Amino acid sequence: MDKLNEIIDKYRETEGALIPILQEAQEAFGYLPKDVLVGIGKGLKLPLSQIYGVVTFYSQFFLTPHGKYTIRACRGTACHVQGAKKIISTIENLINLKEGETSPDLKFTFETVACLGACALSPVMMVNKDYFGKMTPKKITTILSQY
Amino acid sequence: MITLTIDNKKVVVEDGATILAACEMAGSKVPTLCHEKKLLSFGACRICLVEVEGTRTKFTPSCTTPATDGMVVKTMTEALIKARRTILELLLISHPLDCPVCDKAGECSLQDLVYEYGVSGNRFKGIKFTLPVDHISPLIERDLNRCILCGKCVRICDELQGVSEISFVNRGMRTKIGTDFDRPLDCEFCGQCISVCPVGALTSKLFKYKARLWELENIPTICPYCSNGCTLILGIKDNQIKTITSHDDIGINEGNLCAKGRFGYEFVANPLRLKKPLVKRDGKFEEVDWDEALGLVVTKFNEIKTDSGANSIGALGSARLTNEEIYLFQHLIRQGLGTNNIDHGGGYSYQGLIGLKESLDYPASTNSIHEIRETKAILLLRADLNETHPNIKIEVNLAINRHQARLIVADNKRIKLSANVASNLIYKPGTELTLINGLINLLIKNDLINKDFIKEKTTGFDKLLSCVKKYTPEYVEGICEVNPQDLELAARVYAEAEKACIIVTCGMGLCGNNRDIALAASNLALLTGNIGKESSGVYILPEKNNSQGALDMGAVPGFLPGYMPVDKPGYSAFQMLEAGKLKGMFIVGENPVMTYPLPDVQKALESLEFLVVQDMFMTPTAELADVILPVGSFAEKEGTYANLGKRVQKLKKALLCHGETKSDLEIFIDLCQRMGCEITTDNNPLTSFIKEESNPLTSFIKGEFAGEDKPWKNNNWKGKFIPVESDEIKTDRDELLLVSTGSHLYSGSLSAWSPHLLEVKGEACVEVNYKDAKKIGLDAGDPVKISSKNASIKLKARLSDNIPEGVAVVETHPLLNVMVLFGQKMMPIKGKIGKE
Ligand code: SF4
Ligand code: SF4
Ligand code: SF4
Ligand code: FES
Ligand code: FES
Repeated sequence: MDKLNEIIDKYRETEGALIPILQEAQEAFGYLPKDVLVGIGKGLKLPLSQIYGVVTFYSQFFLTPHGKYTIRACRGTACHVQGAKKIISTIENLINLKEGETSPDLKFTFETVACLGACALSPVMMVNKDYFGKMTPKKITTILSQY
Repeated sequence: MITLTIDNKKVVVEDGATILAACEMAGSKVPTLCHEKKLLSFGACRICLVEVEGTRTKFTPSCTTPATDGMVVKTMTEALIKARRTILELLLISHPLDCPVCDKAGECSLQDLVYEYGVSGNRFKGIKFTLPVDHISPLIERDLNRCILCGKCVRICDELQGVSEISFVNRGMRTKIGTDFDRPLDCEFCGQCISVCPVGALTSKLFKYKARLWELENIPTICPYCSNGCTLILGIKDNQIKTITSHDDIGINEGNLCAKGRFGYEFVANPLRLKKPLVKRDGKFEEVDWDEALGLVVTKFNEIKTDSGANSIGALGSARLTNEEIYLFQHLIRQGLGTNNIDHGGGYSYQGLIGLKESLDYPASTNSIHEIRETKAILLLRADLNETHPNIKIEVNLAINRHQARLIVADNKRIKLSANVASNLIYKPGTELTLINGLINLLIKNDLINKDFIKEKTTGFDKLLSCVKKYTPEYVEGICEVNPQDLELAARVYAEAEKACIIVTCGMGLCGNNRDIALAASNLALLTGNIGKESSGVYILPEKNNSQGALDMGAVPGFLPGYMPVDKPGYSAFQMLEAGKLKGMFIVGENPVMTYPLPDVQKALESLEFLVVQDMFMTPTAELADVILPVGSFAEKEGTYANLGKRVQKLKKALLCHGETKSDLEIFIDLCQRMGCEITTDNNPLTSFIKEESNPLTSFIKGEFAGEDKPWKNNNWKGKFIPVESDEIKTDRDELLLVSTGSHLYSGSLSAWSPHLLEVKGEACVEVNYKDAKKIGLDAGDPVKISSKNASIKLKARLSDNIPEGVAVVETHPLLNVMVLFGQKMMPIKGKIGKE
């Protein structure tokens, strides 16, 4: 918790500090456990419900432990038409995780997303901040083997 | 001023008014879903669209757009109707159509609009929400499948209540209103969120399946709980209160209620209510008729009077009675029995008002409730408003959030309102006077006083000056444990504001020297010229619905109605309850066994020859009585209550009598007749008191309602500086300093009989700091025994870092007398806590 106080202190005088604090806290702890949110609430004198609202609004924040690599597969309209279902089931089989799950060794987390905003490249998937377009089951195997 | 045209009609509105407000003025009805007059604009639902000529966008949301000069607005065109229909259709995609079992049906904005706009089919298809309904939270049921995300609940909980229990969570289609981590509600349970929800997403559990809204007869009356005097709207069916609601335009509360007002009505229909008079024979109560009971009361009191004199009889009234009842009660005691031995609230709970009477010649809060919201600085002096006066807290939140007022919290612990303060003064319990003298010392030293006001409008400044000399910041720090910088900041914030008010709470559950605290507050206000102008002054918030009236009407040993002093004051409540002092007592609506700080009350009452108790329930005090007279509740009678702004408000009879009960007024009239101290028909309370014009009481109830000027409006008025000081309370190392705090359920005379309200209160607790808990070896929730030199009680431990080290805060509880710890002195006291 000392680490958390350090982060909060850094932003004490700044307005709108909540998001950067959440980002740094997530960086430091890997995800945002309840105690951390409670601590931030105390530090910033913000109600916990509001912090929770912000955390659940942004897809970048996690309330449960998260893998080192977050794999996001798109199931938006364009991707759907281009065979997203197949992509999703391939990933699920390869890393043995269902959507929303994290592997016990905290290596992978698998999520699906409504649209990744790269429809021209559909079907699309992401690993952390990297985009991969025009996916096929074969390509997936190659990409994932690099992680 | 702005002139614009709405549906071909010219209207003039104030600068800054919205188009919606202008439409209202023009008589054009524009539908709204997310708009709420008393909250800030939000602009989420878009149903309030109108057409404004010459704008680039086709439609304009009227609730968020300011009106401008020369605007031409149309509120009902073909295109608008189509747009609004589409919005409704979109809302209906996922909204469950379970109106037949929805408690909001009949008053649901969505249902009404769908009907009005004739939306029958739906061009869109989609899935209905399937969120689990929250049946676990007490008092409030949340079915978020019905939610239209208007955000009103979130905003009222945040803007007015300052609780922020709920928030928008998730995003996109999954957005909903929730608590953090989806836990059940654990908040103030004011139900304000229910009151603004336009649909049936938030409903009262007490009302579930009780009635359809259109079957209810709605009767406005005054809340029987606290001194705020909110208007409650009783929803009556089959001679029962089915629900309580409020209306923004009826009453001083602008539609705002707290948990007690909204959910605390179950006592009225509680099956344990007494229905017939009872007389104790051979140690057992027997039901008798009224004639026998009242006959016995008169015979016995007359016997005692003949044998031992009128002064061996004493009477306790209650601040829950109406003005008319209290007036008649003291008439009965003084004229009928011939004694001034009459008191209420332990002779203690009204002492703050007495303090103001002495210094300002006005025994009530100096300004009206709504002036608080416009002030620039507020000093909360021992005023945990969330707990004791939730609707005054709303005023404080409005002042801070909308009028940039600065808040100073002076309390013996951190309170909820401490979160957004300019200066937080946590003082050692019992050192209020020292703290205020310290502030006064600083103001004088820093020349932050109003010299003209002091010269022209006050007396006794010299005495004050010499009294506060020694109260330097360092001296104050030594006693109050408040650091000099905080004190200095507080002094500045208060004195530099162009108008500032002080708010103090008083009541049986709050120990301290309340008369002196009021005088100290008054000194501070006079020093800075904060008396006699708008949004300033001193607020003494008493506890009960008619605390003000009980004092105005003379239910005290030293004053007649209207504050006429008596020649020979009677015994005070505490004196009456010394064993052996009296032979007979008449106790009306009070329960000293449960609420008085005297450990030996029960013994004193048992030693009486004759005890009459008049109450709704078999209280621990009533159990000791020889005769019990059962009375009607607030919903079953007429009369008036005076609120803390001295506003006299009328009750409305909504229910038939319960069993064979009589109202307190009827009983007093009957007893007056039997004792030969009748009142003539001209001033018979039943016939004329309640008709306000001819109310002979208005000359005593000098206040807002009666239109009487406050004394400072008189040019010759002068406020008196009355210096006050106190002794220090020292504790040893293994002792804690015990202090009480008022809980939002007060004494329990009503709440103890309202099971759902009681449920949210939980068990009686003592709060201590984590560090002290560690020293004593306590964990949260441990049963503990707490003892002072007066008594020992058992309750649960609650750990908190809101309490300073060395202090234990005991919260009053409807089912446990915690005040016995403090004894008659009613000051914080040394004590010990141990695990049970
Ligand atoms: S009951 Fe009151 S405090 Fe609780 S969520 Fe509703 S508005 Fe907020
Ligand atoms: S619960 Fe009611 S008040 Fe709250 S957002 Fe939903 S519809 Fe609006
Ligand atoms: S604030 Fe006081 S008067 Fe208003 S509803 Fe609550 S208890 Fe009743
Ligand atoms: S639908 Fe997949 S990126 Fe837009
Ligand atoms: S009422 Fe105007 S946007 Fe909802």
